[in-house]
Amino acid sequence: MDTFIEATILGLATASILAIAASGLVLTYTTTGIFNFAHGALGMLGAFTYWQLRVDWGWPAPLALAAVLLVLAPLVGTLIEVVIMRGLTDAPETVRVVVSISLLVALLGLGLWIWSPQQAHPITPFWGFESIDIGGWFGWLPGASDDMSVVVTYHEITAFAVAILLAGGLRLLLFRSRPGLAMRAAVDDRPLSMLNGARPGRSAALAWGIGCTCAALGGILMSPVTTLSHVNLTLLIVNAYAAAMIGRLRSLPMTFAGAVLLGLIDSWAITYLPDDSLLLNRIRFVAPVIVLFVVLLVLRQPRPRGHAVQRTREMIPRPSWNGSLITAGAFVAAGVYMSVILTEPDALDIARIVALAIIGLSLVPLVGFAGQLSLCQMSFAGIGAVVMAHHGQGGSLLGVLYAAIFAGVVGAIVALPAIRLGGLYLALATAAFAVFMDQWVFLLEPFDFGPWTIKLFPQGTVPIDRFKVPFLDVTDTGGGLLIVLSVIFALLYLVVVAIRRSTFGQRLLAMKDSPAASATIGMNLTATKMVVFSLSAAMAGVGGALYGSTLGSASPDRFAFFTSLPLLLLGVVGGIGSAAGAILAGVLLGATPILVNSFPWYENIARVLPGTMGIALGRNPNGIIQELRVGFAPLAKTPVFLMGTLGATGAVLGLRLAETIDGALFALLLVAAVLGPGLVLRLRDARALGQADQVVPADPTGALTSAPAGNGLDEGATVPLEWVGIDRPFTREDVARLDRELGLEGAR
Amino acid sequence: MSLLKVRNVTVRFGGNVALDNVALDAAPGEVTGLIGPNGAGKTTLFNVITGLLAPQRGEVRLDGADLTRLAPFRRARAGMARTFQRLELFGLLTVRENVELAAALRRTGGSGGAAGKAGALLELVGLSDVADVRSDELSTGRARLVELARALATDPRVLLLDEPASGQDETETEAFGLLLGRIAAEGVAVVLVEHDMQLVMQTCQRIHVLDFGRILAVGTPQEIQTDRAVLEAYLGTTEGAA
Repeated sequence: MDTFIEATILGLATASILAIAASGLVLTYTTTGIFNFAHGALGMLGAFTYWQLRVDWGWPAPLALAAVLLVLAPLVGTLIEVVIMRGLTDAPETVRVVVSISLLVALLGLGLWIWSPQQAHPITPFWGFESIDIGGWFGWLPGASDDMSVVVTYHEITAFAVAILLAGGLRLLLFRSRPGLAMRAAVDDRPLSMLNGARPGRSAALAWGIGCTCAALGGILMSPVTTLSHVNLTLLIVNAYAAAMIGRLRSLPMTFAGAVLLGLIDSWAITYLPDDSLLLNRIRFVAPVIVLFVVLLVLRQPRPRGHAVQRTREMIPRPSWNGSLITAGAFVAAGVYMSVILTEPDALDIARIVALAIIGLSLVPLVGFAGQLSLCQMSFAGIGAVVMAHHGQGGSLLGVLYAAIFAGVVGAIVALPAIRLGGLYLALATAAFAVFMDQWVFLLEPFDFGPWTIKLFPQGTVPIDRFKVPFLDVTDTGGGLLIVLSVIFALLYLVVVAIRRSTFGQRLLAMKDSPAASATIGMNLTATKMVVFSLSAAMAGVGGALYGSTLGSASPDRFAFFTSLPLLLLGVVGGIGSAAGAILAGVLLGATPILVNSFPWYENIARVLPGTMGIALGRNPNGIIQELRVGFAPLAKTPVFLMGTLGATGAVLGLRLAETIDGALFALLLVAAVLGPGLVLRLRDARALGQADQVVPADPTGALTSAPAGNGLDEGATVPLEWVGIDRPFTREDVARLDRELGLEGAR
Repeated sequence: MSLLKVRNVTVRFGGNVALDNVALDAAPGEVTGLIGPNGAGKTTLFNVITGLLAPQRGEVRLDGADLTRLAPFRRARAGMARTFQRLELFGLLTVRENVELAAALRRTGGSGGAAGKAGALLELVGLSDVADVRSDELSTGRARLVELARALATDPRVLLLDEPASGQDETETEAFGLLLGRIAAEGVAVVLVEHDMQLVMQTCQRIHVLDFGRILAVGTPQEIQTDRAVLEAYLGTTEGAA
């Protein structure tokens, strides 16, 4: 009996901390419409800052608490809202989620940078380990003995008190104060509340300030109970949103109820389940995921949305077969070239990058075409690697096939509860699944399931044989492997092109554009999303099998949640509508261990880079590669410069092949050859534009009236006259066209 | 004989009653008008009929079959099509692809059926010249025609048009009225929401008037033009004039 009561009290204390964290999450989400994936990371930073002040610098507890909770946390929260989130209110959901995840990755990187994980950060509970015995209170219970002992620590009591005060405080704020009224109005109808004189910006900043304080409070209370760990505190977000999901991310009282449920499951599981079985004692990591999935199953489907407002015009061009075949050929050529000039180990490193790029490519149909997010792509890759390890022995290519099938089926199962809800809910479900795999499934010892024995990573790592191409002994060397992987990447790239060109690809783009219109022309949105999610998971499985093959032996941390996130972010930054994003993601992720080897200082840069890039560039739907391509488009139309670029690049590559140049000089010359002619051309255009500018004011304004007023576009023009120079930089053609249509041709 | 039958539909947003016990009938071969001041609930009613919004009460029947519980895409396959007041084109696709996709989802005709059908429909609404332009580059008036062609590509039995003529000039509107007549003549039940009264009065056989979520009057254009309650709703109270 006393064990039960103590476990219950412990569970309620955990619940209090969860409720504190979750209510901050709900507050920011309802007020601003942005789900803060970085909530746990903010709590982590709060807890570490508190440790810094209290333990490392020895400040008195009240002073340290005041500094963190009353000054730093509200300040940081408000700053995040004003600087990063404010511009996102009308953005598509994908963009909001990507930026929010970027913040998570950046903050986690920052935390790891400042407080090294190699160092211990001991922290004691409030009031040390002092406790009282309240066993006497329960004498009336049936089965209770008179001398029963029930110990409650002061820390637990503090957690209860803070949670109750916070609940009361939020209630007062929302229902009894003016700022609270404004916040609730902004939730109901933002434009309307603005018409009535409210300032949603202010409410949002206030909500983020309070939300961030709640996160820090949760982190500070949680860290002495578990340990002060970057990853665990950041992952608190999953438990917090599982609790919030019970309140449908909206209701604070239901969120508190959800927290109690999760806290009790957690504590009873620790107390009553045998801890010698890994299958069972990690239930605490699994419970939130199960709760989340159950809630997803009962949530009602939201009505299909119409368009989202987008500031930048999205470009997902329909690639031609000719162009795509040339591109695919270029991928293979690049692979062959590198396999010739590189040493064995270096070629193997590049082969790993190509394998990661294949996993990145799996995001193109899902994120780029269908506009759905997956935060567990590396988990599918991990499944692919495990399948390859156990069914691709001796390098059998069948292992890769099985990897695709298995990952695809698991993908379908994961998607089942969340896919009809889509958007944010799919992102949340996939994040929960990734954590579930990281914290539990990938750690399992081999176990029996019916007639089968399921093996994952039996000794913490698993050896994976390098796959063999039938009749060809090419993959034994790093260079050969690189060539084969380049060919596979090129083939999968062509598969993605085929999807984009097919009716199915049109369906995906239509669904992303306007789910409402897609449904009313007879498209089954759930089935369409299901197919593309499963396909994407299968592709990631293939990528994972190949990636594992390049590693030789793989451990679960290669396929962690915190690898899936940068993969997605870098893919989006590079441009997820084409192969460009996949390549950028593969290169930056794959190059990190190589660069860290040579330059140790790069490790911390690599930690914050994906996040900061995501925050800065995640809102551009086209990605930076597409922007570059548009910027250098005039090159293709000017044969002299195009030939110059190709010739110079070829010459540099040839010199390297002849081993005339090497190392940094080669890299420098290559960049100059690729970018140089384009830059010269742009400079020339800019000068021409400058001259045109000087001419315009000299012309009589009467010329404007003679401009043609046709409805359609003139020959050769891609945009109406008013749009020239708005969606891309001015080109010489544009200037000429403006001159022509304004009747200025003679003025030159 | 009505093909589309809406009965007792009630929708509440919080305490706000958007539709109150609304009934509507549309017969094949006819254009049925649905008019009313802004905020009367016309678009909300379309959302209920197409399944984008679940009503608190009431039912939607197509040719006797109850559609009230069906998902939007199943209603579309049963023969329900619509256009949107706030344009919902697939901006990433070309005009032709927009229409082709709808035709392909309907899966009528043999191979190449979708492409041929899309071409014919673009010809019908007069958009052949911009078939390969990205649909988000069109003017509002022409974009509405793409929505019409896309809706027609699903072979609808009931066609709901939400302010299809706004953004069109006088000649375009006139041509559009004739086009509506031709579509209805093929046996489609057309429901038209429109603020251009001339178009409504010339094209519609029957008109429903909606005001503050209630059906105020139903009748022929002549009856509606002389209905007291309708005049009050549109021109304010007529007490002084009476």
